[in-house]
Amino acid sequence: MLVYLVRRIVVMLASLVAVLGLAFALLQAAPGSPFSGEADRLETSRERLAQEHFVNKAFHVRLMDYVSGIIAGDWGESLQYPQRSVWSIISHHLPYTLLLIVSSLLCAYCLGIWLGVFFASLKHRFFGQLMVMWTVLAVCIPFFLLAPLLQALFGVQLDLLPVAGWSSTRGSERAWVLPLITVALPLIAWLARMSFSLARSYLASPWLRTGQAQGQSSLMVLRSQGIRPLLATLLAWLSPAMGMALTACVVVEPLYGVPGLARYLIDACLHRDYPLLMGIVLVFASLSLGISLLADLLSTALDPRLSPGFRKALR
Amino acid sequence: MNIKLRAAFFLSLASLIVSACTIGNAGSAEFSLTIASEPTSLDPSLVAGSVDVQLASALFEGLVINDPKTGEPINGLAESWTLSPDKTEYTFKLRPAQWSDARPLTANDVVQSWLRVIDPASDAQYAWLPVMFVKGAAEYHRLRPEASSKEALAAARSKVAVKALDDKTFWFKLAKPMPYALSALTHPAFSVVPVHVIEKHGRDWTLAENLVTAAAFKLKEWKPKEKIVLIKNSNYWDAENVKINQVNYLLVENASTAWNLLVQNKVDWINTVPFDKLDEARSRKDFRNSPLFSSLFYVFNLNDELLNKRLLRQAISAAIDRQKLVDQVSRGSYIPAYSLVPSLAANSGIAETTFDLEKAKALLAQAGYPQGKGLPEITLLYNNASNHQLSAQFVQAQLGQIGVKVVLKSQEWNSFLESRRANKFQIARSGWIGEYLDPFTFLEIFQSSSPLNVGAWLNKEFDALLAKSDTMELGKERLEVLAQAEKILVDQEQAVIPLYFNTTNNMIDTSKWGGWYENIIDIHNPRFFYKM
Amino acid sequence: MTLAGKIGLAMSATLGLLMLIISLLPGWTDYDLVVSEQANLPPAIFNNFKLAGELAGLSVDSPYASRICLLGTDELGRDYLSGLMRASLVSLGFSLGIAVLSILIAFSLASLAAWYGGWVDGLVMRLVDILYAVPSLASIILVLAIFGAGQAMVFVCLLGLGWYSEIKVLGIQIKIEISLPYCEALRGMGAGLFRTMVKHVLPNLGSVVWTLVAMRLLVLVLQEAFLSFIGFGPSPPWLSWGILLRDGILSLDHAGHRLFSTFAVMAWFLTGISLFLDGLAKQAVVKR
Repeated sequence: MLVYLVRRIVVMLASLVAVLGLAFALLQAAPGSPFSGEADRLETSRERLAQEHFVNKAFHVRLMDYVSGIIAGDWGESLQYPQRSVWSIISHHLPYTLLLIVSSLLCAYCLGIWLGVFFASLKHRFFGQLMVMWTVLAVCIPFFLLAPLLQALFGVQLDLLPVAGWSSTRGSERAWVLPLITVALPLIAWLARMSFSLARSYLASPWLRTGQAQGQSSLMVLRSQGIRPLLATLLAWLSPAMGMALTACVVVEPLYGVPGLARYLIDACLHRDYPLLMGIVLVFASLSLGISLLADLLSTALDPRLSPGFRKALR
Repeated sequence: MNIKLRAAFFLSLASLIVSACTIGNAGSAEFSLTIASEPTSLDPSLVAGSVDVQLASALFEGLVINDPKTGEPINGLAESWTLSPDKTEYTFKLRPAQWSDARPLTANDVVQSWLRVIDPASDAQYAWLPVMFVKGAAEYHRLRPEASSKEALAAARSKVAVKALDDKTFWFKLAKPMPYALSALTHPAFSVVPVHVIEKHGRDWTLAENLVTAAAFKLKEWKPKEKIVLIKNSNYWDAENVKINQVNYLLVENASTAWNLLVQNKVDWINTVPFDKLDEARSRKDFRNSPLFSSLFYVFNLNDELLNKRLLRQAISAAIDRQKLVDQVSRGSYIPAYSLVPSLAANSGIAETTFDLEKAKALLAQAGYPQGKGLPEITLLYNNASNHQLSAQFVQAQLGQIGVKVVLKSQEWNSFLESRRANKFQIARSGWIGEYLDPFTFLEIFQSSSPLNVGAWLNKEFDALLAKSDTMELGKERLEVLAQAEKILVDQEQAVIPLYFNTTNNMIDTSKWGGWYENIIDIHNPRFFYKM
Repeated sequence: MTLAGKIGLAMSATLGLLMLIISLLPGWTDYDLVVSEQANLPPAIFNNFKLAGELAGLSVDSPYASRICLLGTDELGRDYLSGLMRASLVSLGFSLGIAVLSILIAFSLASLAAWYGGWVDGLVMRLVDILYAVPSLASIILVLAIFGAGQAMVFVCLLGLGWYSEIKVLGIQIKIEISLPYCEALRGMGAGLFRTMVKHVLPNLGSVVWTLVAMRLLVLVLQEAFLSFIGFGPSPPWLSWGILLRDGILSLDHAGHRLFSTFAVMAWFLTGISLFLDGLAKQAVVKR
């Protein structure tokens, strides 16, 4: 197990470099420069320096420079915000995005799975159709439509929650609720629908039929025996779910004025702010890879059939 | 009396009492507004976008500032100035002003501030402004700090024609006579910065704990992507006339969110109205739609074999109904344009309607393509914003009426700029915001030497007229020369198709807040605001 | 097939058919027809189905005067209903195709990984980890910047960024399935990878696979709307639900029916197809 873990961590670090390389290559291939503006007339010294750093050197040299810089703790300087270092931007804004992502994932996994399992245990086909319909609605209302609706309803009409303004100021935590709902809703729907479908097929399988034949309710057997394989499967979706939550944050943060890091993602792409974009990619890529590893370990622990040694032992 | 009336009565009574009380301690007012993007930097030399300019004008002052009503230059830190008879040398007499750390402000501060922007090692995007105006600045800025010797740099620096004649007298020389120079001096690139603080703190000098200003406000806190709070600077030379104690700039990128905050009275001023609230906004009494010193136009690539034909360009321009474009694309907010330069008080523009479908058809036939026969498809390049897309589709349809087939090509912002810069287009969307209040700022970008002349427009007569205007005095004759140049560019040669002049939609209740005026540059310095 | 599945199929089929019939009616106009005089007309039901030309004051002999715009016209005077139909065709067609293709690719790769196990499994899964780790939005924007954001490039990107999302979920399901005795028996009988997976594992996992297709479809619609919102949607003459939703919000105050009708058509189609796919999924639940 330890050997497996060490191997995975080594592979993870290599993957990180691969992700950085991929992002770097894409940035390189994109036309335009970090300093082009509509009224650009003179080349400033910063532009010349950046030109030397990012454009004139060979690709692998720059990538290695970047990686060694990161190892030495130097994240570089933002090109778009000349007075801020990449590290100061990331450290200041990451907590908000992270909190939003983590809380929406927690919400989605707890609420979504519970909803799916509960609806499946009711067995009546009406609930199946209800499940389908609400998930369709929940996923296909885009964030940019949902956010103003929620703001108008809870913020302006009912005056229950602030329209915007979740920030470092004390007492502004209530403004976190609406962004959370907006980010979490499609994730909840996805997980509810998937766990519904899985639970429905479990209920038809011999290992749960036994319990049911003994007189336990569907919900009871699902809870006692179905939940482990269910979680084992759905945890594999944790990383893509995080990706989805991050994408949602990109839109949701500006809509609710949340000072998170995700809002910098599009700007950094559009301005070709190499150091900032690489920094953001590095942060979220390591998170995603870490979550992948964690999810794999958890899945294996929940369902031994998934462990690497299982097939061999069987034969 | 019904309840509403009674409430209104008591409210007005209460506000009377409140206003009576506040006469005594006017200055306790707090003002909140939204800004739509994170400022690039609070350093006035590094300004890039309109938000930066807005903030820089509140935090720093130059020798002259914009008049809050007209945008014309008025006294800032300079008490008075004189211009030499040859129209090239300005001598400014400074006010007895001091920095917010109580250190007196001297003419040397002005010299060092200007040199800091011109310095070839500076990062200032707008360095071109002082470089264009100040004699000797171009030679200094052109040097490469990494390739030049220290002596060469020092020698070039000493040749920049800015000088402190004494503690309170600042002198500088223009590169050549430029009648609009004073207006350009209101730009943040010319503002006076605390060189003593910059030397001490380096890049961190704009942090709240370090920043020292000589303007009406100083920085209290800056929380990135959240808010910027300015408080009154009691050491300001005109502090007794500053009625606002605190200004909160809330960063709200989304226009609908800003609108919701306004409706809830959480902010006092927003400077964009979401498109879907336009009708509601127009019916409110705090709606202010005012023209901007900005123009949107399509530019032809004159290197293109096809668009090299003047008659074809004129046919295309004549076929576009700008009034309808403005009505349908901006729901009547913008102003239709048939000239490049927006009209100023001094200059009425040459905005006669040139839309004429029959004439367009005739011109097209003259160009050799009757009803568009034999004319290849023309590509129209724009950046991927929904309003530009709508305009492009409108133009496409209008040109379809005379038989000109247009293919639309949308690109993401940076790629778009690159294509335009590299001259890889046929017709491209373009736009310009005037950098000083003179028609020259719109025309100079089409000079053959300008790096912003993306359509490769070369015309000796045009260049000569612009050069001639520089030697003239401000006034009617000069404007006529400029109008003549514009006529060559737009009417005679049709190197560009003017489409519309931008306007801005501000929401501010001017019966509650005084000192806020609609102006063409859309810069509103909270220094002048006061609570009614 | 369950009743709900049949209803779902009927829902999407009737709306599709209705649209087809409308497009065959006389007075029908094409979306590309811009008649700026007829901009911003209300839906025909609010003005007694008068001809658009009459409403806009066009002369009777004008070639465009004799059309009826059932859902009114947009800012440029184009018939909104035909726009909605074009958008539905593009969005639904591409999204459905991409959803099926994504799950097909994911199933094949997951099968390979589960069948061979060992380093093949490791390779596929670590590759997938890498793909998960690249923020998809950044790569979409950059890819669109490189290849041009025009036409329907956005759908190509959505395929490129969607095919790997479900590999791990499917991988686990397949791994569990082939550890069951019947798969061991098949292997003992000498059944190969293809036969085991396609003939035995796929039908048994039908329930999960159909649900995944349905959810991928919804996620694709969401992502496309999102990309349209930030300006990276398909560009004219292509059209999509996302573009219509974005523009619908902009015209919400004076032409709310645009947003409403777009959303109604979207919800109708997607509910129909989802019910149908859920019917397939339910049918595929095996009673062992």
